[in-house]
Amino acid sequence: MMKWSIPLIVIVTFMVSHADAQTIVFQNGLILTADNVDTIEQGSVVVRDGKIVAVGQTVSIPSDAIIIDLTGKTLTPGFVVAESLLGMVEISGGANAAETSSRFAAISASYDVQYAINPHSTAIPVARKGGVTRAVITPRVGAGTSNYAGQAALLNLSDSVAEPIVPGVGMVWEMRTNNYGRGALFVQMKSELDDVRRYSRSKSSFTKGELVARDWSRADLEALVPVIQGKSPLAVRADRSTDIRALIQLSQQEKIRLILIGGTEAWMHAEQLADANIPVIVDPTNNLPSNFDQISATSANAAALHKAGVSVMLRGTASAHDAGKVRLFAGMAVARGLPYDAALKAITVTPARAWGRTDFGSISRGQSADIAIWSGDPFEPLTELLALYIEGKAQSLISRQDQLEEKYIEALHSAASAMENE
Amino acid sequence: MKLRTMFRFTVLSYVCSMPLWVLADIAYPSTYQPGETHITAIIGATILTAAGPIIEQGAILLEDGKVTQVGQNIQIPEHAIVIDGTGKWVTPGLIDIHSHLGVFPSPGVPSLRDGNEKTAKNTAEVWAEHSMWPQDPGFEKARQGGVTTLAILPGSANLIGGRSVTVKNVPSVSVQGMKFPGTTYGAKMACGENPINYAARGNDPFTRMGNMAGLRSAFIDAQAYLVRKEAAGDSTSFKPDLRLETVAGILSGEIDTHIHCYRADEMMQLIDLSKEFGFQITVFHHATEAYKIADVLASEGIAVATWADRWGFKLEAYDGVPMNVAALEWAGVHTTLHSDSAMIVQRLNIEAAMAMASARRANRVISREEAIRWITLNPAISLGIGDRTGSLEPGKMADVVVWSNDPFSVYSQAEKVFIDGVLMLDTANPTMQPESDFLLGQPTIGANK
Repeated sequence: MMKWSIPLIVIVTFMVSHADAQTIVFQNGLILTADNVDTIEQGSVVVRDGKIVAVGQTVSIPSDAIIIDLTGKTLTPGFVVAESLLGMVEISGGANAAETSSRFAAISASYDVQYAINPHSTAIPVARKGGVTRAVITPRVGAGTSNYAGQAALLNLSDSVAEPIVPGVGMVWEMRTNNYGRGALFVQMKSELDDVRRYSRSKSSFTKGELVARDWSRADLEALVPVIQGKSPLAVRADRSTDIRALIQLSQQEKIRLILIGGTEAWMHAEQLADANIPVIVDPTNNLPSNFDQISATSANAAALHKAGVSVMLRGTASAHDAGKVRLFAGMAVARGLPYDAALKAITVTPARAWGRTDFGSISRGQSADIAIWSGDPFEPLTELLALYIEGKAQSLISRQDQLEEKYIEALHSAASAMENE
Repeated sequence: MKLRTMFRFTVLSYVCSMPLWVLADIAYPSTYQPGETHITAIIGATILTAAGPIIEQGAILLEDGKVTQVGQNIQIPEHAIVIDGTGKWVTPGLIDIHSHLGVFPSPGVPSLRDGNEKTAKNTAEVWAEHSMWPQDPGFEKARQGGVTTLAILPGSANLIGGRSVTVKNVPSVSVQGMKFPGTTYGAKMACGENPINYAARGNDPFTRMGNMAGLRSAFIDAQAYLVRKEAAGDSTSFKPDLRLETVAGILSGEIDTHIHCYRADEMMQLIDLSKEFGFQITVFHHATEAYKIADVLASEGIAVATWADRWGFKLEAYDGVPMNVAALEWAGVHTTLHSDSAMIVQRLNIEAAMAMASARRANRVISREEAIRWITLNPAISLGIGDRTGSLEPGKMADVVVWSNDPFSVYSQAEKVFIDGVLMLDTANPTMQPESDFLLGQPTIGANK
């Protein structure tokens, strides 16, 4: 058996990554599982073939396993950003380096972010440095008047996976009151769903004359079929209390699986959201009445929803560049009353399950070995990420920002030469 | 009343005979008066004074709105209110040197977008205090984040956006009731993408060279204005020009410069421009590439106000790095963390913690004593109020925050906030938190808004 200390983790596991059959054992760490057992002190995690095969205080260790000692360190699942523009936006404004929505009115619900995501975006290594291993990428509403923004995708942040994008994990819909007015918008939404139902009943004989809500493209109708069948979640961006209430009612009438994004005033309907099993993606810092749809914004939103039994997911802004800060937003939610374990789940297992994935998100047997190793409490800004694994492979933690720092900052030059002299 | 009348009808003679900042004070004076104070001692706390080493098991005495004693052994008068600070941390009130609260308030609706008079490339004539809405709920939220003083700036869509105003973060129906007494004005200037984007409306500048030409022309006009004004002497026939008054104030050193600038090469151009016209740049704001020219900024004595690690929201911010603040600190640049945001202003302490954390990559440590200055004494000095607030020293304003624990922890909360010795916020007594008029009668989840 080999024993390694933390500074060697990255080097060791780079070696490991070329020998997938190798078993890695993380030993003697504080394990925050995001699973039902919550926390294991002095715990071990065994990883083989990219999967977690054992977790506990006592695990059996194969003789050829690489042992990584985590004494004084904390192990968590890799973080899952519930909603982001990561990979769609390299630079937000003025550089023609962003696409967030369809620019073609005939393609709305069928707009597919898988083609807009750039897995080589420099924002992705920055997000990895925040312990993020997966992110759900969602479009914004685009050209035309449709409220459907299109299909979300799941992005694997691995630096080495061949197919990092899983398309079509859900449909995104957004309140767009300016085009309609609320009194028209929800009426229109119901007629649109009626159109989709008619289409799905007899696709082969479908003629345009049967459709009444809008001048649909066939691609848009096709994209909405899994939604009305309840196979794919409909993620709705809405903030105002009355909109949230209308969407809950509509989802129950239409038997649609909803995810609520934003939900500034969701705390006013916490019980109904819990009863309807609607998970909510919340920015825990959103506490200002930034417009008249968000008058009752409060940083107690996440805690109130959790208390009522709602599955809460946390994000900061949806900005691609801030995706790696999701751990700090979890801490901010804890500071405003969300229990620690709920906050951890809110950035790991809860978003994974809400978007229909059961293969990652927690530290438990059978889950993908998406693992982050921390110097302490991962929600604290002063805590450092020591290593990150996706599917058992150690990830590069070097970003473009690191390269800029090395080029210009004198202290890094002297630090580097000091290490060479050691 | 008499002074106001004088300003209205005989402003000319004032312009000619008085320093400009005196004119400003007379014209729109601060009416801020701190409320009643009680002698208060906070004992047994960890104190970061921003002026010296950390004090464990420390105590601080607030009397008549001032800090009078701070240390491990202080004399507490018999009738003082004593607050047990065991487990708590005490810091100076936080200061945000770059805020748009009140001028771009919440709700951010079109009828309240008062922060940028972008009708010309140079609108140096406008003053942020004439837009600022004291009912912005953001002030209260900033106070809950421990912020006691803010510099409210006009926006950066044009080359010279107007004058800043420094305010105490106290509830008031008027801007005058918040104005920090006896402060100098700052001129908000901008380079780079923002003034160029303004040109999309059919005006110049269209390019970065257009930005420079626009700024140089403004200073040449101000030089000529000063000559004319001096030649006029005490003559009442001289007609003051509000726009040129501000730019001339920069040249005469009576108005500070707060320059929005991201790129290193553009900061270098602005430094040359300041030498061409003979003024000192006070602070570069945002300055995401400042780390590339840290030595120049240090030797020129130019301060930097920036974020911990915002980047990528436009091309000129593409090279922002987490170690910017640490690198500036190591190079000896006078460095401040700012918000430019109604959200970030609520957690400047976390911004400071993030910037501290970046030092680890260089195998170095930035102490809490150093980091606290980024959000207290350093911005105070840049705003010209460092002699009165920004640190916990005898004789300074009792602008004090009691934190639930280490303020560089994400879990830390400002439990008590004193401004000039007046307890303005107390989480143990939520009913005393004043609400913005705007939020009265709206559905609320309770005190923890």
